[in-house]
Amino acid sequence: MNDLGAQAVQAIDHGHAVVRATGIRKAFGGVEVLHGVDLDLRPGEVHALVGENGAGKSTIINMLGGRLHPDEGRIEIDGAPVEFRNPLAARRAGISIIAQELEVVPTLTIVENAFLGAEPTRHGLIRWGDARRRVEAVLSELGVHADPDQVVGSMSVADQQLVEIAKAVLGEFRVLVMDEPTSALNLADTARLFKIVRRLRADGVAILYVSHRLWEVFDLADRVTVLRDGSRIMTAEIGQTDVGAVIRAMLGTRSSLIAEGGKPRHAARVARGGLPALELEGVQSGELLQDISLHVHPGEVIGLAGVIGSGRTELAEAIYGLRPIERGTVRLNGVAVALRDPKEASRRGVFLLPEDRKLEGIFGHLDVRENVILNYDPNSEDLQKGQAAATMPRARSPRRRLGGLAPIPLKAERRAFGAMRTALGIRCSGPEARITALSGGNQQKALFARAALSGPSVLFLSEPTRGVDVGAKEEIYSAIDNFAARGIAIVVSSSELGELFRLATTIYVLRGGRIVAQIAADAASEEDVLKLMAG
Amino acid sequence: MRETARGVAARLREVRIRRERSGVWILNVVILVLLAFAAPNFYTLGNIAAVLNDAAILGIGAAGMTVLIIAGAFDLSVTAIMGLAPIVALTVAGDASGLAIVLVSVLTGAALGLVNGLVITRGRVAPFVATLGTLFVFGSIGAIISNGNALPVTNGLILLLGTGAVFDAIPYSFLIMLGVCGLCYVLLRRLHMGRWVRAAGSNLRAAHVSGIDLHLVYLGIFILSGALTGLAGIILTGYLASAVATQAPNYNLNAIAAVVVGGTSLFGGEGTLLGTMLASWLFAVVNNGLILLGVNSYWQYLATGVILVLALALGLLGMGGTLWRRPAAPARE
Amino acid sequence: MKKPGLVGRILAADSAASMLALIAVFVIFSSVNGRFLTGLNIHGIIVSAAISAITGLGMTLIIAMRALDLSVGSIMGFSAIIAAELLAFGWPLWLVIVAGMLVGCGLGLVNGLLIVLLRLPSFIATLATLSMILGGQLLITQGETVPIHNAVFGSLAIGTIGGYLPLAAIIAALIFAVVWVVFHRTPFGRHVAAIGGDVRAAIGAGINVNRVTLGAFTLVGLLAALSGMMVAAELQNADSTIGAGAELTAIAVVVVGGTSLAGGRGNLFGTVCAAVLLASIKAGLNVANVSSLYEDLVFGGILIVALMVDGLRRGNRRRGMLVV
Repeated sequence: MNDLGAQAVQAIDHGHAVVRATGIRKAFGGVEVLHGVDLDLRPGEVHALVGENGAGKSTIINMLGGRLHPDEGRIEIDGAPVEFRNPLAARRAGISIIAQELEVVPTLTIVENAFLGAEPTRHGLIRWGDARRRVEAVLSELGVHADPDQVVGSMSVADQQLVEIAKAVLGEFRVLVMDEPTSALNLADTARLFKIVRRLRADGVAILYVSHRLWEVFDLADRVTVLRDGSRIMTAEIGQTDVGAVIRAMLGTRSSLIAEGGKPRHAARVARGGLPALELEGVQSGELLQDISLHVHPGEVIGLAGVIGSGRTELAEAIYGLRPIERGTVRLNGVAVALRDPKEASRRGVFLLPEDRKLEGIFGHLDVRENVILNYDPNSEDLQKGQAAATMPRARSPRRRLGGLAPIPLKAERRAFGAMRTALGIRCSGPEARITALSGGNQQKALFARAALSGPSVLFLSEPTRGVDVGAKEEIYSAIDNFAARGIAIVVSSSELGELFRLATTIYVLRGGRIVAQIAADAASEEDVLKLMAG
Repeated sequence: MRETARGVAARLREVRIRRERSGVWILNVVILVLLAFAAPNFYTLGNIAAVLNDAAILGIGAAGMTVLIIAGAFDLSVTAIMGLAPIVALTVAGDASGLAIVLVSVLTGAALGLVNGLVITRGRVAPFVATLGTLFVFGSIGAIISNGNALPVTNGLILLLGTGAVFDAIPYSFLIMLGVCGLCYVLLRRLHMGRWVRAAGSNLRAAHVSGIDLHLVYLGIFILSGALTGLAGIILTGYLASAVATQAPNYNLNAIAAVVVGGTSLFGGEGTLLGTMLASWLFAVVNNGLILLGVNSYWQYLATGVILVLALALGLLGMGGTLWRRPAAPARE
Repeated sequence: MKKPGLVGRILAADSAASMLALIAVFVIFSSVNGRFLTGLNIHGIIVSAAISAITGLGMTLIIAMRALDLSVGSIMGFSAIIAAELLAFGWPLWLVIVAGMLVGCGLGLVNGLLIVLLRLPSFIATLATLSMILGGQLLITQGETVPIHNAVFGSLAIGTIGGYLPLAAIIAALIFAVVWVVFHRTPFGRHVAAIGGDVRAAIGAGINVNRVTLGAFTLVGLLAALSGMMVAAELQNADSTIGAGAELTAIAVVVVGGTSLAGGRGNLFGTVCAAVLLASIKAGLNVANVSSLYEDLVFGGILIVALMVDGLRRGNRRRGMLVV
């Protein structure tokens, strides 16, 4: 047994890379997301990959895992070029990916999952005894105490992750890619995971560790590569760099821009002393969110910062009625409300721009106009005033109750769509264009328009510029400024700090489901927030 | 520059979609040409009227099914509603005016549809198994009320509904189908509810997140489908001059097949009522053709299934079009 | 470590509920009419239960795979008719049974091919084959009933060993054992469950979903054929009423037996218990002189209730959202 506590790099052949990716380029829909990235993984080494959202990390992982193919560049294993046709091919080559979305079958047991697709058999029957013994051996080596016949679905996410690692170990792998592995883990589970990773490293596995959490990177990794906007900015031995340098590499020139005063312009216009449009007090939801308290006034923009798994997504869902709230109060304009489903939330003027627009936002079969106009009611007075009164929920209900059989006001809709299209600069071939034909940025703008047209008083934006090119980003930021100016209370939840600093006056930092800091945007720097996020 | 290219691509895609819906036109032309040679007695006024009647009875129910499928749902219980609604109507209002009988049949259908909708929304059961259960429940009730017997029709209006025709050529039922399809078209395109239906079928999760009242939508479409089936049922009863619980065997398959062969995607989000009408016509033609050709009537059981498989297979070969492909689903592999 | 697990699992909610219900049913019906507890009636229940259990076991796998087979009833009837016809032609009994099984396999394979090649949802594909196979039945029989004059064949359904143990129960027990081993102890069986549990993970693990689908539908076709032949043996004739509506019973015994429509797992023993329960209810209704027209009503209602319970257990508590 090797010394698990050893951080020192063992005797490693620095020249020999198991996996080497060279000059990788990849474009989606005409937009290039990777500009000639190089990466190499050596046996017995933990190589960390860091970068903000959209930097290109997922794309690289998908290529290593055989789900995507590079447009240009090549991937070599042991010096020989390979092309993975599918995930199975990548696995056969010895690359094992532990994705953020775990690939275990929740209804099967640990043993069944560990050997799925590779069951040991004799005369056609699975040799369960043998399988169980091998799984028990691996589990104990990994330091996990679990009944191998336990159904995976009843295990914690942390344990499920270990089942996936066990599966990889049993499958004879040489490369392990871990994508944000600790996003759902507590401190104890993380420590356990690290022990295992160090053990695997000592056994000669090449590990690619992708994470937002820089303190983990500096604790665990031997080398670190920083990606920014699809380019490799730096690769360094951990001992020869520090957190500050890595952060600067991740943020690039943006940090200096912010420092030069690219602050939110409407800070002065925030209405003080009035009731907050939205207020949360001691809200608890599920196992993650604890004691969340925040408030946002009409015309104010607040930001939510936090790494993936910090609870930002869950908070958005809880406010909007997609997740039950067990304890605490939610108040709209001072009145306590229970928003139990999105229907009620939107009726009271709360609107959500979801994180994953493909999954939760876009209607592929409807054209652009219909996607935009979905909740639009030209007869709604609230819309004219630009602010819905949350204390009069019934003002909005009649629209929905009768609206189903009410004719669609085509002219008004076309006008509204046209106005939005101009205001936001939505580029499409026409109102009847298929929304799937639009670029990511324009799709996001369309969803934005939908939010705007629903006459919200509170707007919750989750990752508003994910997958959006730089030009469209600025336009969306202007739109957000505009809405705030019109008196809408806005919450921006984003993993891009620059964005939060650009838009918000107050930033709440979430970590582990709790709010750990509430800072004024003009009184802190991105580095401060990153440190708070990472803990 | 990029946007123009995207615009062109978008327009091309729309053209391709129109071509994809052409499968049912092709099949129709082929069958009609074949019949011209094999059974020329198809082309008599009386026969065509009979075929139109058949098509209408299927088409009215299939229109409701089209709306359901566009929303992402299915209704297997229509077979039973086709029998139960007229039976209830004759039992409850058998001596009243013809209009009352029709009304009761439609309302019964609507009520049965409401039951379906409640099981699905409140009972939280998936549509196809829920309606599988209600298929048998409704069928059983129909058999119990009628005691397994045929209830005779004496009301003149009902008989006229099922057999009458304008100029002896265009059956009233056909006109009713046109009206029904027009109504459904207006619903889907011109009313808010229609948009919610299409949104729910396109992306159920997004529909929920955007605040659409899914329970209301599902209740609405099942009530609509039930009502239309009740209407189709009473017309069929008029045609047969009697109401039998099992008077429309395999109606659920026939309706779904008409919708799918007509070009509506099985995965929801978009559809074509014109296609459904054309496919209903196609199935009616095929069945009629089989009779005219003197083929064993049992072959009709196979006809629907075979045409369905054929249409889908042709679609695979790129000829009839990808009738069931998901045009906008996020690409996975 | 394993034995208590087995006992514990038997006592687990699903099967226990079925067995409790069974006891209740027996108490209720025997108090309504003394005839319920006669040996003849019990024998009839066991035969009927065995028949629906056999198909139900196959359906359990299909539902575990998160699919549905609506054509099992038609396959039952078709195989029964083929068997009757072949017996009438004078084929030896063993060959007839093998032929019937092959017919079932073939029809099941057709289902599988429609699903795999045409990418049809399983319930649409099997809805279509339900009607097509029924048409096939009618074409062969022309609506007539085919009589069977083979007592040995008949005894396979209604015969007993030592005057007490119904042969049908033994056959069902054997089939249960085989299906259990296939489902729990072979890679194929585990892959069926994996596909139903999380098809993404199954594909990621390298499972050939198409091949497993074909296999599963072929298997249920085979079991349906066996069921159908047993019905024909019991009735000593075959016509297109055999298996009519059997898909309802098959799905009902699976759901009542505790297998969730969400897929990923299958309670084979629960299916068997539920088969006994439903057969008892049917016999009870019979003995209580309730018209057979009510049978579908009762079973349909039971299915819906069981589905709602299943839905509640899955935790579909999200307000306003739907199950699809």
